[in-house]
Amino acid sequence: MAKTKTVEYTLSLDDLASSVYQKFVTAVQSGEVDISKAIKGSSGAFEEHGASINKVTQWIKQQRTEQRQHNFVIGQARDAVAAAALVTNLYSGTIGRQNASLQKTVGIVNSGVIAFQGLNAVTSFLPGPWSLLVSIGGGLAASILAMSNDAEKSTDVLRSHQQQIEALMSAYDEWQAKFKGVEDSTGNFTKAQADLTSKNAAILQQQINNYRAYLDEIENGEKIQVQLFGQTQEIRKTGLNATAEVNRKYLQESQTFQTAYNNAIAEGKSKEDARIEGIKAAKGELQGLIDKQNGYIAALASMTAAGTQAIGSLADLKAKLQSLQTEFDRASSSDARTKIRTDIDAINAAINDIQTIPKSSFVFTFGYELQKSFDAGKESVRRFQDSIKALFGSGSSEEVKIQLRIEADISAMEDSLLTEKQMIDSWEKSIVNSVQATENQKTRAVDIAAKKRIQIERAATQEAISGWKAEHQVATAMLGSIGVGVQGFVDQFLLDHREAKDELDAIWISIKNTALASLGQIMAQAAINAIVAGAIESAATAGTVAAMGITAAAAFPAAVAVNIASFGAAGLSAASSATVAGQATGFAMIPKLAFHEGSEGPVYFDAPSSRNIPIMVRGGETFEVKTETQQSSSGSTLIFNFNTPVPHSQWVVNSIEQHLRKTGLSIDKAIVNNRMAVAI
Amino acid sequence: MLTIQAKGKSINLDTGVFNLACSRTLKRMGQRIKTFSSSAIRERYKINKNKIDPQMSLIPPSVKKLQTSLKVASTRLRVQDFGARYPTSVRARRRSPGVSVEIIRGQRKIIRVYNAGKTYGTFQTKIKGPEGVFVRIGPGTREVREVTTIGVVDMFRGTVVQSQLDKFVDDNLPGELEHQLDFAIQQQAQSG
Repeated sequence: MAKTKTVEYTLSLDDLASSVYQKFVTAVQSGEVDISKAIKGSSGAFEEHGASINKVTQWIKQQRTEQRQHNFVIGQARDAVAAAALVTNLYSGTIGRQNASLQKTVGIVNSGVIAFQGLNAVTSFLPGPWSLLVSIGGGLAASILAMSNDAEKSTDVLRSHQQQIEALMSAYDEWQAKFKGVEDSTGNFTKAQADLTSKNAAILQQQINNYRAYLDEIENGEKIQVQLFGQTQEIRKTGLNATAEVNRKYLQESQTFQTAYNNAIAEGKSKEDARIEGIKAAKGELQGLIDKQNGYIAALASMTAAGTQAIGSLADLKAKLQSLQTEFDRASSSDARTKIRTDIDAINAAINDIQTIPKSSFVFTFGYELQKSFDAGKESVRRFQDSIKALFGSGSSEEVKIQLRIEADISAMEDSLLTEKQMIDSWEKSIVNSVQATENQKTRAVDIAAKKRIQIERAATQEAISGWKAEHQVATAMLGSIGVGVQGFVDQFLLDHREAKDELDAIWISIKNTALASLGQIMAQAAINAIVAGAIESAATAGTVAAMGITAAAAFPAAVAVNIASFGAAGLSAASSATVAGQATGFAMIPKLAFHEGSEGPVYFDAPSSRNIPIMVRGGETFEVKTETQQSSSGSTLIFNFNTPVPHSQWVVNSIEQHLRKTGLSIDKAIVNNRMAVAI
Repeated sequence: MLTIQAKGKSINLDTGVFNLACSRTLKRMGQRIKTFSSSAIRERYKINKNKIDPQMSLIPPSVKKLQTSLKVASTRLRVQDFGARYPTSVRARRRSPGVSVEIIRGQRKIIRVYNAGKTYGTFQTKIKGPEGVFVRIGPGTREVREVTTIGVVDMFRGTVVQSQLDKFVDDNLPGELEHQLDFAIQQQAQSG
């Protein structure tokens, strides 16, 4: 009998996805029923999300307590979706190797997993991407903060947002028309879908209303800014007028100007001393000017004295003339008489010239009259010099002496006049510069104060963002991933797979486009919306918050546009509904910063040990803070509230024991507290 | 189970759908592997199709067990079936020490049998009944033994055939899986 050889060539596919998927469903269903509802359909999420907020939060806290919150939902969802997308992970079975077929097929799987890792990177709790997401929102808010302080740019922003709202309205109408057309043509839409459509429309309309409210708020903020700017201008004008008035009267009321000027610059700090010193110097200069003027007056008085002396000389001339007249009368020869007559005539002429010099020419005032008088005085002096020259003869010692004195007086008078003008010009220039410097200083002070306010508001907003991020990242990430990512992926998968090359191609397109592009933007949008919602509760100004809200609203059409561009018109309705669902759910499920309820009694909250939790406290409110040890020693009574009548005390024990048997928990697991050990 | 609302229909996109697609993929790939293996063997070896196919059987997959096997079971084949004849160059009355056969296509060789360190020539009988290629072991003995060669299993396990078969699976399994997934989802959508 010939020996028979046998060999088998085995090809197998191993289904690893079913167990993962079932694990996910079991975990979610056991954790919270509403979460599974949220996974199954956006309509269900819409109907249930309001009631399930507290339950979801409670469930998340439970997960957090068990230290399993990290990547729990996201990881399960990613595995389930990746599994549902491909189901299988291949291996070569009895061949015992990984051939190219496996690699190629697994490569397809990996591309999907990589895509979902990208999704995970967006929606997971890893600090890097999440911080990036938040920093995007924060950076956006910061830019808008800066932008809102510029009226012109804010006007552009207003106009741009108005256009975006109009575009949103147009998209909304188009969306409604398209949905209506689909409904009319197919006739297969159920009443529940119609309700969902109306809810979507209502939510979209509500968003538009919200955006309009934001717009109104920013308009009010702009009005306030304009009013403040006008008041600032009035103050500035008043200051300028006051300064000009002081400048105009500085000569007559130097002391009043000094006081007003000191009051005007009293707001300055660092340059106040410099200004005061400048004023003191100016005061000294004024005193010097007065001294100069006095010196000038003294010089002119000296000149007047010289004129008086000249007049005195005139008396001498007259006496000499009288003497010559006597000699003339006594002269015997005609030549001598002619000579004497000539001298007498010359002296008479000189006397006449001297007598015609007006004494009022030596009286002067400042300004034009001073110059005018000075010129007239110079002319009189010139004539006086001629008289002196005629009287004593040119080049005589007396004539030279008088001439030098007069020239010195004239030179001193000219110098005094020139110095006075220069002093006046310098004084005016100094005053103008001082006023301008004061205005610049005030402007800089206003700018610094505005920047300081912006920094404070920005810091407050950032603090609110940080608090919000720390408190609600789990809920938001879960919403973004489960509510939008899974549903959006699955919806887009069947809605649009015909447009792709084949089913798997549609899967990848759906994953990459929906999960990465659309969901990423939706998540960013949700985060920004949440930041805005948190910032509304903070101390930011109305205009700033409105600007942030408007900007957040502006990102919504962009997300829709991405979906439309990715999937064409057929994907518009699903993309819009998924986007609206994600946004509305994100808005609804993100709690705002608020004070605790109740007027008395202690406040309990679970703060994880890994980070700090900010607490809002009303003004005047007192908090009693106790450590766990202090709290444990404070009491030994546990209060159980039953919603049924308690027939007897043993009934309580029986009920607890029945609960323990049903759940399989021990007493310390079933009744958890930090005050005492519980026993029955 | 994921319930998808798409185009007015509710589709249950559970893992059973994909398991069904995988099962169909394996069934189809098994059939193609069997056909391809037969062709590859006949391309390599000079053997008829009716000698190979009866030796191959498929173990089909199921939804619960996503595994298919091509089972090949055979004995050694007779050299006589591979074109055995005496070389044409020898003279009529002087037999050569062996019979030439063409087991590998294009490589005709003279068959010799090695036994206990000695080489024995083969001879061919064309008498009806014991028709075949035989070898006489030892001088003067009357004992003869028919000469056999590798079977279908060995041909199947050959490096050349296996490499071609692996390449065939590499090239066709992903596409087949995609096609079956596409078909299964379409079928589910239409029936749902």
